[in-house]
Amino acid sequence: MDQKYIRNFCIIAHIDHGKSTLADRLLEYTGALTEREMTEQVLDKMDLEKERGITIKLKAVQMNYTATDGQEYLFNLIDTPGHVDFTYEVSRSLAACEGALLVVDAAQGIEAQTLANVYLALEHDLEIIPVINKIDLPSAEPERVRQEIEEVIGLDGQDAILASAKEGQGIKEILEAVVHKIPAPQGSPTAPLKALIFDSHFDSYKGAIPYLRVFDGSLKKGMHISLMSTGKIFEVTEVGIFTPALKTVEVLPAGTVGFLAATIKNVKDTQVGDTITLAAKPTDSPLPGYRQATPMVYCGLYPLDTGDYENLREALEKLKLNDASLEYVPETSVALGFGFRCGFLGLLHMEIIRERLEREYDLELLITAPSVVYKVLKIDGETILVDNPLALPPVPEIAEIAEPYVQATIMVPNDFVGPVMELAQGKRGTFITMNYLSMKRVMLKYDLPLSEIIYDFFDQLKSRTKGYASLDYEFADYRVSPLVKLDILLNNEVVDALSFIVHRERAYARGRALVEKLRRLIPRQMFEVPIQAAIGNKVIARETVKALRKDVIDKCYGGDITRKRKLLEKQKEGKKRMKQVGNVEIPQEAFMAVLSLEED
Amino acid sequence: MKTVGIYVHLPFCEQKCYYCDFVSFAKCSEQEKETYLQALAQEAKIYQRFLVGITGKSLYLGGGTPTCLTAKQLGQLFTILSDFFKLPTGIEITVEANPGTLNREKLQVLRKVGCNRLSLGVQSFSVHDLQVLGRIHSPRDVYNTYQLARQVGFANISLDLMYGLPGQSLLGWRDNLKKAVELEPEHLALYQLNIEQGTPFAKLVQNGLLEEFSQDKAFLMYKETSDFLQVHGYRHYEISNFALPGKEAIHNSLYWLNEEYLGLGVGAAGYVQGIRYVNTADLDVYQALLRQGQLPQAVKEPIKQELAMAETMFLGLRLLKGVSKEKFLKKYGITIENKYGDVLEKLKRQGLLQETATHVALTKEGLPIANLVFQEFL
Repeated sequence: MDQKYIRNFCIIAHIDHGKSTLADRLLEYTGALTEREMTEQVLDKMDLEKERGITIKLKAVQMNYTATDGQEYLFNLIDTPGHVDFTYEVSRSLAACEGALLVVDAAQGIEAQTLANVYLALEHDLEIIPVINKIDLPSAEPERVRQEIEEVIGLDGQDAILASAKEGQGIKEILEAVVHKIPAPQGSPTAPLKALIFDSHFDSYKGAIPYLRVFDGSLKKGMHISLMSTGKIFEVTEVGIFTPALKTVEVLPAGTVGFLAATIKNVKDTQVGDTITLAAKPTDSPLPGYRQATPMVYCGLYPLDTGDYENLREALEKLKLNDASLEYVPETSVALGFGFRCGFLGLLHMEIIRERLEREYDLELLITAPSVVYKVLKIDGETILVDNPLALPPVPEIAEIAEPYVQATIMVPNDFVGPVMELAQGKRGTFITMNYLSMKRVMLKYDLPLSEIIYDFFDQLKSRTKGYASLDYEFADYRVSPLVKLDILLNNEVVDALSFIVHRERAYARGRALVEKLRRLIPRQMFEVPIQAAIGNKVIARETVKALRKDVIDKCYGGDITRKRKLLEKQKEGKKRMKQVGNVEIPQEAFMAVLSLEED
Repeated sequence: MKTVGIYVHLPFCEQKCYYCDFVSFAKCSEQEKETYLQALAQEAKIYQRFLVGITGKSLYLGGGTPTCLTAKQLGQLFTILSDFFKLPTGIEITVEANPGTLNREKLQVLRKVGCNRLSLGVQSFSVHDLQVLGRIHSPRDVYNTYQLARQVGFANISLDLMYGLPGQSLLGWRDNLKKAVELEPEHLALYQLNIEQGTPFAKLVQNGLLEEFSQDKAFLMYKETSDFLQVHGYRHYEISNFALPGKEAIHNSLYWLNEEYLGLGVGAAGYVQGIRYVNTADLDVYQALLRQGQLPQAVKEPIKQELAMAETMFLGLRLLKGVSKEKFLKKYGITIENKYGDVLEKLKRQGLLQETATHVALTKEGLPIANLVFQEFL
């Protein structure tokens, strides 16, 4: 098919604004799937995604659409994840498209996440078609949203299509707008091959399968291709398209979206953003924008049952096959034994991996408090990266510590501006700008330490704004801060897995809050357990878990022994789930306690 | 012929106490009680046929409040039981009684049918405590009933009291202990109030209206109880039970020695021929099943040797004397040391367990935190 009949586009939407439902309707309307084949929301495949109502893994799908002018068009819809952890992935899928549908909830308006992605799309010169969705809701305010689209994004709000994906309203208008507004691909079919990887998955028979967009040239079985970031060469064994199931085709011509298989053993070799070209006749310039995915957040993952260490290793290996951004290295903790230090794109990514390990691999895990990556300048002039509080050099060796800052964009109804500013300042934020998006909505920008964001910023933001605020952020830079390592001692011994790095001025309050929380979390033991928070040798807070004094089933009345036994069994089970550190038994929640402290 | 303890559950109460999670129903009609006695007869009949000639080792009427029955109904109940089971003269026959439900006539009937032990649910001598618990009787009722029982000839009386009640002070508990001892009962059962799921108390705790009792205070009460009663001549023979020498509860000891017993009645538990069972707690289902000639067991669990040994340990250790090594070996063909060597060593090291030539027993330190010990055998 001639390139001029191809349209490649994606959907930009905030969580719950109806992206997946709209995608389903488009598939249904174009007959890509018969109604019988439709399972609710095909684009979200993993259980986790469905439960959370968000899309984590990118997918793509091809559709054929006969427009009102009688011409048949080929559409490629590329799905994008809707979370700040995956901004880079979003930018790569946008780069594979010529246009985007901007879906805005008619009742909610534009959210920070959406805005961030729209700006990304505009950076990539994408044609944007605004769609105001959920107009069937009684609370829909399409006119207000039109105004927001104009004022916030600068697009003509009057052009926005009114739709209800749920009711199937506006679908045809959207498909026609795709035909008429989104430009056809402009690549050269005769130039050397140039294709962009925007995602991949791992197939145990065929190896890593990159998902790609062909810009110039074409891709066929038997070709020797080169991946430009590494220079590695592979022979293509199969090319195909997404229907949405993978379907082999003869050739992927310029302008199309599809996949290839080339017995690539490692997903690391199919990095998102990399350019594929011909080994024998490479393109002179790779596609711009490639960077390696760098984890922003690290934590320790330990098997609750030490015998599960090998199983955890295997599970991580398997997950990594499909997720090049996941990092892990073995680590040992005095308190927790053998485990792994894992790097994630963000907290959601971390949470997803943890849940998958627990659900799909049936592992019980202990997870330590997440940490950002600090840059430590030592007095000998060496700079080291520290993603684990334990790796922080002794104080006398440290010249300075720098921590990552992000620029955060917060959108909020103007009634909540005060509380948000108070929160951001409390979290060491630096105010940048404030803009009114409409009469009632405000966009705030702050520079904030990433460590404060992963601490509890988002929860606090939600609770202080009754859930109305939305947040997006991007990495800004590293800044020097007065940071110290806070250790927790149980029964006079440092529990390494509980150490964390904190701003000096906050150390006292957080140490105090943490020991109090630990006192509540750690059950009474046979002996008294002192809990101390210390910076170096200086104890800054102390609490005591009193010794267990009375724990006995008093009555064995009426002879219902089974019930009493079950009670004891339950008690024992609860104990088994605790971690023995020295001779103190610590419940799992204690290791994450630092994340949900209520400071005065 | 089989000699076992027999437990009979009478699920009637004038009013349900706020802490109680036993199977019992308030405000039942006389008709309902009679129907229930018929069902009990059915159940006894099935067991009698099935086990062929059961002789009672002990008989225990629990509840609910068995003394909610009229004197006539109490008489009927004993007729039913002796119709189906052999109850040799002199075996321990205990009736639980609420001081607010007894009169001379009932006590005389009970004596006449052979009942020789009364377990009186006193709970507290403080009017305030009794109101908090939702008890229907007053301290005065306790004194009156107690004297009446002595007058009609009960020579073995046990008093039930609870500590750790909402708002109870150590002094308040001391006062209770003193008053209990002044009555000179043969036996005392002293429990800490436990908040059970589904009770009005549990709801209060959930709603933040009732705080769980301080563990430290409960410990002091427990310790004082043990010391005080021993000074007054009572032997602390089980975690929560005290008796004058020779007056230990025979029926309850069957549970602690992990022996078999028959349980009759709605919600009753039994252990017969290696199987533990619990009857349905639903009164209608209980009666319907028996009308159809079926046993009303809702849960049945065969106890294999491994589990039986564990139960022998965690039940037997409730007795201060401990578990007899010789009996264990005789029953299971393996010594306690061979079976539980590592666990015993660990618990001894922790100071929770002690061993003599003949017994394994809890230490004084282990008693109040015995759950830690019990778990180790499961």
